[in-house]
Amino acid sequence: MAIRRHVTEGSRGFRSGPENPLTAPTPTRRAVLAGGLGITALIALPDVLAGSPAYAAQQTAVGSSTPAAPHFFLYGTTGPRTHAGVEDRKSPGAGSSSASNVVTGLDLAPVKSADGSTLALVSTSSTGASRSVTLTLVDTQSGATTARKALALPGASSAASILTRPVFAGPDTVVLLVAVSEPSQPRAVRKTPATGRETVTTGYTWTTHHQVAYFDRGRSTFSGPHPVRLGANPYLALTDAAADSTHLYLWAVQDYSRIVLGKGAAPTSLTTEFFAIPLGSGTPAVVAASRGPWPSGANARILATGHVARVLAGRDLELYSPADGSLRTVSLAPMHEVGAAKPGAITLDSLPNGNALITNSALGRAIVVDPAARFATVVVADYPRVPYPVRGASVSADGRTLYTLGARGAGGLNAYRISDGSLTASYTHGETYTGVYRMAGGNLLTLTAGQQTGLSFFTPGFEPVATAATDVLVAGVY
Amino acid sequence: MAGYDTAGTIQSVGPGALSEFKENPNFWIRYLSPSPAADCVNSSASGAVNECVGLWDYSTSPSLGVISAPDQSHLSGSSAQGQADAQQYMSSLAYVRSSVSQLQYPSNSELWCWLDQEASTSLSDGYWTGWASYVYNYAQQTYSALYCDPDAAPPNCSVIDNYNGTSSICNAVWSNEPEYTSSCSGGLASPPSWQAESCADAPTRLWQYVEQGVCGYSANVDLDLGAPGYNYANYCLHLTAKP
Repeated sequence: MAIRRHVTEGSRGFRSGPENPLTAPTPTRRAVLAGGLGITALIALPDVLAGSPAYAAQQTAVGSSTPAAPHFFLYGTTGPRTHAGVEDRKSPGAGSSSASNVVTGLDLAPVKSADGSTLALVSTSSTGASRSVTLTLVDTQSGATTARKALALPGASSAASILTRPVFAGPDTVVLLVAVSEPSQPRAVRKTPATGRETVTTGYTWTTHHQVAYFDRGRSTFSGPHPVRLGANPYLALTDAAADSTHLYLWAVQDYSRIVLGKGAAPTSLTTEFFAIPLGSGTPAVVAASRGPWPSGANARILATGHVARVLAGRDLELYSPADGSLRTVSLAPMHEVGAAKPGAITLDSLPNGNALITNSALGRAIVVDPAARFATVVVADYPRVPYPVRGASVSADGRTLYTLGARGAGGLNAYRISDGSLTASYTHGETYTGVYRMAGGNLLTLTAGQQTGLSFFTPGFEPVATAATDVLVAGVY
Repeated sequence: MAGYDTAGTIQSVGPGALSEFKENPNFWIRYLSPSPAADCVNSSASGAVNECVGLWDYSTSPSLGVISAPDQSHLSGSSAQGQADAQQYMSSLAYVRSSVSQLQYPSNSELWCWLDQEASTSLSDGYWTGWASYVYNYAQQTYSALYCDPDAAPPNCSVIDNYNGTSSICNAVWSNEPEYTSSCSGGLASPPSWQAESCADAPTRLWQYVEQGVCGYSANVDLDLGAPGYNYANYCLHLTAKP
């Protein structure tokens, strides 16, 4: 397949520029790698790699002939019967390209610290009737496991469904937010499913309680778990959460199915609630009614101004200010000017200049807001719509460039200048990617869905670096 | 008899869709929580009422199908993640039904509750069993079902086909392929003959034959068609009167 690459300068929004046909690079090295979470094949393009600015920068950064070795981590499964895990890989040009498992049997996707230096992974285990969760911390620069500690959950039954999320709280603490759902009141459920044959199964009433534990990274010890005192009724297991060095911030909503109404009582109006819980405690110091939607298990963000922010329905922001205790919604008007039949992938990034960038792949729109100016809109950029990719957009390390996936049919990548929303470069050789990530060294990684996941590496200027394939069905890159 | 699905509210999307397709659909399919990137029917009690007023005004039979689109990384997660997502889905369903007294379960007591699996997403065995068992056992009327691309490479059919005859059964597949890209003049009024992709055991009962943007259609809706012999509206919530 011929590779077409075109670069345009200064055009506003997405527009195709002149195309410059190139000859497809010839693979000069092929290595088949085994032993990781999946089995990986790597095709490197060393001539292009050696000439790339990012690669040169890596060389300069370490001040020696030894290439920097930025690790990246693939989260996913290798098939329907396997549990999710994380595979540690090194970027092309970093010498060894071996892949290795970090952890398997994960409950949910990893969480990265705000500075990108640490990855937190959580798995649940049972020993006899005892339940526990294990927190693993990984140094993203070296790939080394820096901590692995189990937390016992006394009182959780062997039948409990346990969902644990790690939340970084400043540089010293990792919060484990544990939702323990216990079954009760077994009942026979008699139904005729799609088979046409009536079956009897056992249904339960599930009641969720939340606990919180605090991991001291310096001492490698846990305190807790403490019960989280949200309210009298049970709450749903899913919460949105963030933390800073003083508080854990939670959005939670009551389990409407478990709200018991009095005879003749009017239905209860349900509101998402916001909680600020001092670190070390399970008792909220602040409780406020949120006007936003129910929490979905998302990670909220701490912005440069200290605001705690979460994205609402891919269009607006909800902000808590620890400084004045206010909780408010900021409507992002440009996001309401467009609609879509499908939901998309949402990103929220803090830029180095303190601004915040929100993207919505279904709307094909990115917006930059200035937290210091009451979240006024600074820039709006439109890019090709892509319904629900794994990740639809990523930002360069200097915060100047937004990388997005190419349009349906065309595929490839596009780059936009964040300061004015203009298209600065685009690339395609016909491949449709399902995700784009900026790696620690500055290069880009794209994903292609298939029997294996295709990995393609590019310089920030869209020069191809290498391609690879992995058996990991990638659901996220960290 | 075709219908729409949309990530926007019916009352906001309905006028544009009516203008484009010149008639109202037989049903609407809308998002319930957890669907972090969509406007959800359960956003508030008044929001659910307004949505159902839109349903009454912009459909030939006021039938409301439901889908949940969790963050797609969840679908690779554990049984506990699947159960937590299903718990919220069913709680949001209960809240909507409570908020709109005129909104009833289907008369055949079979509401297909869709999980959204996009083509680029992998479904794990653990997630599906946690999700599907919770939905199936939640109420007499709730049936677990999957929106997916059956022929896509990532695990989908290979998971759901495995649970035939258990409480993790997939009772219906809603296929988003193949996409209808020719003879587009049919639109909503004259959908194509049935040719949806399918899994081996879980039956395909609904087909998303046109997506927004294909064929030049610009309204914020996708077009859907029930399988031969299945009027999908019969497997939706329905309004007995205008709220």
